[in-house]
Amino acid sequence: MEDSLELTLKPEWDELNIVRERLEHFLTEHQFKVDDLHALIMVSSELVENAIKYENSQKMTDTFEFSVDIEGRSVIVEVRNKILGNDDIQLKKLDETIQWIRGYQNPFEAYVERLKLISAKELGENESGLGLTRIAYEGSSVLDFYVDENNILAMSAVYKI
Amino acid sequence: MAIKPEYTNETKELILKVSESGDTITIKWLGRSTEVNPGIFLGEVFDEVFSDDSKKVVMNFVELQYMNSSTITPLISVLEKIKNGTGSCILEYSDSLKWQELSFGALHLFKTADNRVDIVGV
Repeated sequence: MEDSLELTLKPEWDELNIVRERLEHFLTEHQFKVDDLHALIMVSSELVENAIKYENSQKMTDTFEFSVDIEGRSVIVEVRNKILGNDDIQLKKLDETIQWIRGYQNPFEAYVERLKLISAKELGENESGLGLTRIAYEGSSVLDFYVDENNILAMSAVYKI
Repeated sequence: MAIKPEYTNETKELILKVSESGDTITIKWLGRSTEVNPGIFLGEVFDEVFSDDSKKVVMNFVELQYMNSSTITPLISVLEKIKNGTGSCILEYSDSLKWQELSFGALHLFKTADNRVDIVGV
């Protein structure tokens, strides 16, 4: 049985259904418990949604990569997509969001704080960062990212079973 | 505008079944909320369902399979609006589903002292 799932996706919203179906099948084959399955589907969906939104906002039509790797008691979900070479602003925002989440002792506190900011309309829907915060809290995952020399942004979430 | 017994979003993945009994309107969420901007569909539904402050609205999520983070924004907008107003809204979620316990548990910050807004695990 393969310990990895890899998909090449188009930046189209319908691709999320493919991710969910293939991931559910993969995790069920590996006998994941239902709570872990729900968490990983959510983590994967949120990361893929962000990738699709980015591609569409930059009017890019490149395919991007999605992978899930089981390594012992860790599951690494990763999305890799090409970014514009001069997109320092997006990367800075991404870094700030992840550092902000890490600044809280408990991801629950970060999530509640994010909800407060959204309800007070201090953050719009497109800048809420709620998806990443949800990955950290509800998905109990550690977020990270890097950009390689080919301008491929790899966004990952590590989930402990 | 009359409240409909059922609302379905554009992708037909999310169904909201509405029933009325006395002064209580119950909305049962079924399926999955995965649209890129669910606030458009939900905003229209909430405008109709929450138009009468004398009615208590119960939103039951127990059978909802999944919602994306974009769904949470219009939800908390309506909770905040009711919290600052005079209406009533109770969210019911499944406390045996870990994802619902985590997702809805965090919404306790919108609970009011008089329980007009409440988030209840069932």
